[in-house]
Amino acid sequence: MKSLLALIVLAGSTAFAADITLTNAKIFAPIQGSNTTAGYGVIKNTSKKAVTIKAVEAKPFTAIELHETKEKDGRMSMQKMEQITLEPGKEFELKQGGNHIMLFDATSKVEANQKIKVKLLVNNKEENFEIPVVPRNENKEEHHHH
Amino acid sequence: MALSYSSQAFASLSAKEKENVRLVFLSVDYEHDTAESVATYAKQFNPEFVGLTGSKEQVDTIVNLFKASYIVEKDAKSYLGYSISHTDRIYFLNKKGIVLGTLPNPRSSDSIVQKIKENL
Repeated sequence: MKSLLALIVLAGSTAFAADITLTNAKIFAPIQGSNTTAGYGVIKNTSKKAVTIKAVEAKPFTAIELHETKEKDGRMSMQKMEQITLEPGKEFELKQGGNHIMLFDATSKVEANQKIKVKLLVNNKEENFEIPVVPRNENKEEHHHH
Repeated sequence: MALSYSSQAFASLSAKEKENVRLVFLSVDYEHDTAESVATYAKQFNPEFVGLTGSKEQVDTIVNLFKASYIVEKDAKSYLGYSISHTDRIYFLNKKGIVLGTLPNPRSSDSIVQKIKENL
């Protein structure tokens, strides 16, 4: 019995190896007239130490970046963040009108109901997340929030 | 975001109200956008939306008329290589082109609807 219990504990620690969770994630299907689209969700540091997060790949998009939205002198700007640092237990929300994932120049058609494999570097270790693509103009959620 | 919320706002207007409202969306990224691409983009939020851009001179003329501003900044670390900070405001004009009010960020589809109805 002791060895069986040890195996269960080992399995448990493997399942919690990931340092972050990504919830409510979605990517808007690109629309004509723009070479960019955006992704959203909530990243949470589930580990007991600070983590750094970088966005590195999201095929078939040519590039992916974490963007922060800032207001200065009455002007809004979106700028690339090299990385996010999250303290233990803290969340980072990527939302419309705020910080977000920016995706550029898809090399093949990306449509609703597809899933995009997004590769992040968490403490310089690769972690992959599958994010569903949703239609750009049928986002009722943002309406209900206001 | 302005177009998403405006799209939702227009969807909640009555047919008669819609007849009396037009939305014009201006891109200040005249180096990369074309009038056609901006028009295509805007129409996907609502077929009646008008999307525009133009030459630097044309864009500057409009931006100055509205006492708005924009700054193009190089950003070598980003994929695009630049970013544009700009006034983020919806302007409500009457038929004579007089600005009746504006709506800055943050805003919602409800606040856009309210502002439209106040001024119809």
